[in-house]
Amino acid sequence: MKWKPHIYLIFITILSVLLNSCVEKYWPDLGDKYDQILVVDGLITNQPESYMVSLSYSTPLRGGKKTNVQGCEVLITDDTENTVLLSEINPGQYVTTNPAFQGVVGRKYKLTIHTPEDKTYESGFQELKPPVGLDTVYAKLESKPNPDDDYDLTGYQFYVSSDAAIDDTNYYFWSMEQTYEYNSNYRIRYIFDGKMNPVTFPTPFYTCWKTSTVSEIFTYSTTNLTESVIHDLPLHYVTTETKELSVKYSLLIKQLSLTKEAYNYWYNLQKQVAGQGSLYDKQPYQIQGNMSNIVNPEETVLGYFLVAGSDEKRIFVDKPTDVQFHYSTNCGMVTDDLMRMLYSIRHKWPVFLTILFEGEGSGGVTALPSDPVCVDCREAGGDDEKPDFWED
Amino acid sequence: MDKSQYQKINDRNAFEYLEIGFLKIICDLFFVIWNLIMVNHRKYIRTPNRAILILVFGLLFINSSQLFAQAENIPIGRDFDQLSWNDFVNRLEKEKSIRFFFEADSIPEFTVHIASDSSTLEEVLQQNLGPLNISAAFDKNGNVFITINKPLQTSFPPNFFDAMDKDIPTIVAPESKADTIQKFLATHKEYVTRTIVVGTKKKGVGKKTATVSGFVKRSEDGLPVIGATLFVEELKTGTSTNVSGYFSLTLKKGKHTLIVSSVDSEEEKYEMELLSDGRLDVSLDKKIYSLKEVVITSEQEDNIRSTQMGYEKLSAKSVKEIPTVMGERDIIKVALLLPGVQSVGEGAAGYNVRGSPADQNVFYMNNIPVYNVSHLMGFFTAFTPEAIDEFTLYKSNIPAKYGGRLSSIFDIKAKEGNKKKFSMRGGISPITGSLMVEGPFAEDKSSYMIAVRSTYSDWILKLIDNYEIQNSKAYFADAVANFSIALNPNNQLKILTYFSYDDISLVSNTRFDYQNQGASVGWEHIINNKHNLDLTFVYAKYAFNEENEELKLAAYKQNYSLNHNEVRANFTLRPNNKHQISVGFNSILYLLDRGNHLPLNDESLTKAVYLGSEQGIETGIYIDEEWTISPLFSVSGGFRYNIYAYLGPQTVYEYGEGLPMEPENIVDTVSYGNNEIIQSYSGPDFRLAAKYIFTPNLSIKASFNQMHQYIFMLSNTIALSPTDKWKLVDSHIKPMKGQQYAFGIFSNFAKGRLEFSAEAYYKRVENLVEYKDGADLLVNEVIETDVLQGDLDAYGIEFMLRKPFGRFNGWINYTYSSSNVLVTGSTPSEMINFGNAYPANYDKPHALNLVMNYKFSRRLSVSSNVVYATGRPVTYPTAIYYQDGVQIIHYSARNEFRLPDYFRIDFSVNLEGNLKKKKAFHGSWNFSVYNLTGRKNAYSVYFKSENGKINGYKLSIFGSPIISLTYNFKLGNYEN
Repeated sequence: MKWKPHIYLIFITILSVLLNSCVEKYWPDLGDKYDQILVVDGLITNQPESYMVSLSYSTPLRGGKKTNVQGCEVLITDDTENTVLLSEINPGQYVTTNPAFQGVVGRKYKLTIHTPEDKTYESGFQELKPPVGLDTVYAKLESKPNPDDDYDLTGYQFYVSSDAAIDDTNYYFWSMEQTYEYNSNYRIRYIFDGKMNPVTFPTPFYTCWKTSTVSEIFTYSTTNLTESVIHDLPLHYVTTETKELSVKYSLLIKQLSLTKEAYNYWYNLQKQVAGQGSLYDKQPYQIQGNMSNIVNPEETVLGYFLVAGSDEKRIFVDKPTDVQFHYSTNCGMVTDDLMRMLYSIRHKWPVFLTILFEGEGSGGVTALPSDPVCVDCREAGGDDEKPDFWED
Repeated sequence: MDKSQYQKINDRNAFEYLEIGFLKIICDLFFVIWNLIMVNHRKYIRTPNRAILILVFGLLFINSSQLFAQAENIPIGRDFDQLSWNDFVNRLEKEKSIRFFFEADSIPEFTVHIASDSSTLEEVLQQNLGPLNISAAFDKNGNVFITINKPLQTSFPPNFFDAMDKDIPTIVAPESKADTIQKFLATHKEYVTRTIVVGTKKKGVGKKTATVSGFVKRSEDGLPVIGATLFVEELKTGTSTNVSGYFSLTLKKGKHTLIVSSVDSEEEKYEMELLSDGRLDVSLDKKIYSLKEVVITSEQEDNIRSTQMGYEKLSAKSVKEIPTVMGERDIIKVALLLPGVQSVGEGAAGYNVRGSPADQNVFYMNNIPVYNVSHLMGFFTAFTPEAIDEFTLYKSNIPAKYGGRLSSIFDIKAKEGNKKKFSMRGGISPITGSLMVEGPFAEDKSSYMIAVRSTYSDWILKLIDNYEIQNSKAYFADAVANFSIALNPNNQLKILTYFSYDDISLVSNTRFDYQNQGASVGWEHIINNKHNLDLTFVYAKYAFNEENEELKLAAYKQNYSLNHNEVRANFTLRPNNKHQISVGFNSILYLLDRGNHLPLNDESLTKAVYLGSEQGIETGIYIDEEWTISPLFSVSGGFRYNIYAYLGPQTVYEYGEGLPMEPENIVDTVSYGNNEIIQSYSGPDFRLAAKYIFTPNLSIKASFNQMHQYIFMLSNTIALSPTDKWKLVDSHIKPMKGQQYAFGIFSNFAKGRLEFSAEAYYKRVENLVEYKDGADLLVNEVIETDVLQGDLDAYGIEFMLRKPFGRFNGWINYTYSSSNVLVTGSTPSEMINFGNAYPANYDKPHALNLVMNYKFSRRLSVSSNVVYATGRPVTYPTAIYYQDGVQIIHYSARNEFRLPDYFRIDFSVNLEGNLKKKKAFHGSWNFSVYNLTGRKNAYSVYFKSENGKINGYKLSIFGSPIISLTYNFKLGNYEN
């Protein structure tokens, strides 16, 4: 056996690190465990409006439909023994119908629910805190790191500043509703129902407005601040990844002043939603609301009967200029053998057609989009009727 | 010495023609050949390399001793006929001045036949032992060495030296009796006795016993040998050296045979004549392993003989080839491959020992407690790898001198500087560079060792697929300096300083840095050659700063610091050899600055909050005794009494009688002045252990431990966060109390090549600190309102099979365990999980670890780990509901589900530089692949509501093979 120096000295200079994504979609085996629990979702404010309490059961994680709880007797009582009965306008949706009933700052309200199974649930008295005025709401074009792709995200970051609150410490909760105007990718030029009906400007179903709740939770408390005022607090961020900013965007911000208990409920929900997927996650847990079964307090009841002082503001932002949009505008189009195709989908008539390559000295090519969403904005979930509040 | 001199002494031996210097060169070459020759004989000479060394020593020995032995010529009369071998030996030893050396187990029972009255001992032995394949050899001192089947190397291959020195004629010595004997002695150095006289006759007059004491040191660098055993053969008694390498042994005056041995040194045997109290310093040669560089310690004997259980010891050397993340040698991370040690997830900072939370461990760097041991969010540990000599983990039977933690002690020993010569070593891994220098101040007396490590890149962060981390910056460094100063033979001064630093900036405009600092000064004093006094002063500080600009409106900075000031005194008393008693005390003054929460800049509206300071004194007095009732049965008992006082200045809130501790239930506020005792606690700790040896290869052990803990970590994340802080127990938060019962069976088999142990434990912790759901610990002036105290119940059984030596070595262990927490109270807010028990976050019932090393040659070795564990418990969604249009996830009971199982294979190749004896420096390469199969082990599984749908995600920390190449270097050659 001979030992020659350096024979075994292999210099490895290439250091390869093969990396795959470390976060991937995953669905564990959760068994068929599902808890059907009563969910209460109610809000009364100091605003003169009809207040709604929704009653439903929790739904399974996947493929479950929301089950509404119907036929309950729903009452709101204030601390002066005034009681108002809510009426069920839609299955599981109970509203106040008496316009004289309006939340009063400083007064306390209690929700009582009697179910047809003769169970009674109560919230305990909740104080209506004085509302704090929204001083300013503004949006700023900002870039943020993109968790899913190489490029940075671009979009509008909305900020709020409030007036000074009366109380030393104020507990905020922001509920937001967004509406955006968008266009379908192509205009409708013909409606085909056996014959080609030309469509004139303004083309229908080209522009829609879609309204939805911003499903993010935003809370803040001034406990750790020197003044009971907030300024430049970032709320919702809307990006150019979707059509939301493609034409015009509006955000209705409702600033609610909460009791400490209600704030804790929402703050904990916010933390729980945001605090998952980091290296230092906290244990998720069942966040308890303020409703309970008066006979059996052990029964889990989800949700909150929220009583809050409210102020709201609406803001509009136009399509940002000089930015890249990342939503897809591709649509499959059928142009060859169009007539045969149209007759083969006779059951779908009337169908919308568009014209491609118009102008440049040609009449263009009539085409059938493979997906109606390409020409009919309503297919994307919006409504072609302009909302009352919309400012052009 | 010149050639002619050799010739004059012995002209029959070819070796004598060779110069001594030349011998050394041959030694290396010969070793290779010897390897081949000895392959079949390893049974007798455990390691070929050792045999070589002995041979070389032997050559030298031959030159100096040419006297013929006399024992072989002793006439043996017929009166010895028909005696059993043992009687024969005993009688001869009694009647003649000879002494037999043999392994009792190795000689079969037989009767001695004496053919005639004129037989010599040599003839008798040859006649009787020859047919049994047993050989005998004699020396000039009347010693007779009996060995089974031991093929004595009577000569080297005839032409062996031709190739090297053509000028020297080859003289093949004829086989002669003298040669045989001399060679035997030469090849069995451990049998060569040297007579040493301890003390003087004058001083010993009138005394029956005398105490011999001194230090055992390694000959090559003069460092103390810790845990070396000294065994008096005749009396079957002995002792072992302490952490300074010091021993003390009281014996009858007279002649004794003293065997000194330690795991990694050659055994030494002394004929000692003890005349009076005196000193004996022993120098042990390092055992040179050819094929077992990877020494997985836990001394072979300890496994069976010591009363210690729930104990693991790893030397830095033994784990250097074990593959790790990024090639960063990390002995503490290797602990995760030991039975009973778990972490919450890959790269997580905390260690969970036998079902306990991470804050029930303490990490000592020598005597300095390190309060935050994580670097880079927990991926690495904050101990300079080059500075670590070894670490010991006590999992159940914690010596009484340690107190204050319920679960375990990670006792990390820093290297002591080389006392002979300057030396240097270092390493470059993909992320850090490290350097260690050591050497003597005064040769053989005082030395220094300084090691530093620092990152030069934070590219590892870019590998983690989490955009927050990818866009973060991190820097860390650590350093250790160790000074050992011998004032005189009875007084030693040990000074250690430690430092670690981390600086992390996250993309979310959060920056934090933290550091550990520490210093200890120890004085080791030997009293009367018999007893020891150790006095140590320790200072440790953990400091943390955070700057958070996530929200401009509330940008803040926060700081925190913990000061640990400690004095320890320990007396070790040895009244006789059956008892060893340690008595002592330690007292810690904790000074905590819980910090200021301040606005970071003028724009920030953050309210300045001073979270206050805390003071506490924890004192323990203890006595620990080890009592050897018989060589087979021994017990050790320890008693420690803890006194803890929580001191002012402090403002304490009082809560309404019988009401939960919540801010709205505060009824009174009491202010305490400086150093005023607010609350004190005291309680006894017990340490009981017993061992019974059934056979030399089988023992059983049992132990009971009770402990108290007065400091805990504020942490309500699943994995320990680098921002977690420590808090003292106070008038509202009670000290934790832990009890552990353990039972174990320990066995060595396959001729000691395999070690097996099975240990079962049951542990119970009272007043375990848990946190209310959603507790916010960052800016919390009244921690008690977020704390709940409950019970922890843990049990488990650990099986460990180890092959510590050999070309192929390693271990495999399997643990079955359970750990459950119960937090219940009178109101819902005082309960966790509705007052039902739930599995602890780190509860992993099945865990299997396999660590394997295979050494192809001295230069090339491969290692592999295989790790399997049940997935940790996790809370999963069971339903969804809506609030204000937002989809909300409803979760199961706490930890009702489990993550997918964890599985990982690591692999590494270690390549040493050439084996040249004379070289300026030696380098080695380590190529390692962590997570070879690239399995995406779940660190966590979480759920998000996206576009009205719940999506599940799995986060893996190292979801692909992590390949790294590390270069280590040192001054000198392969061996040193």
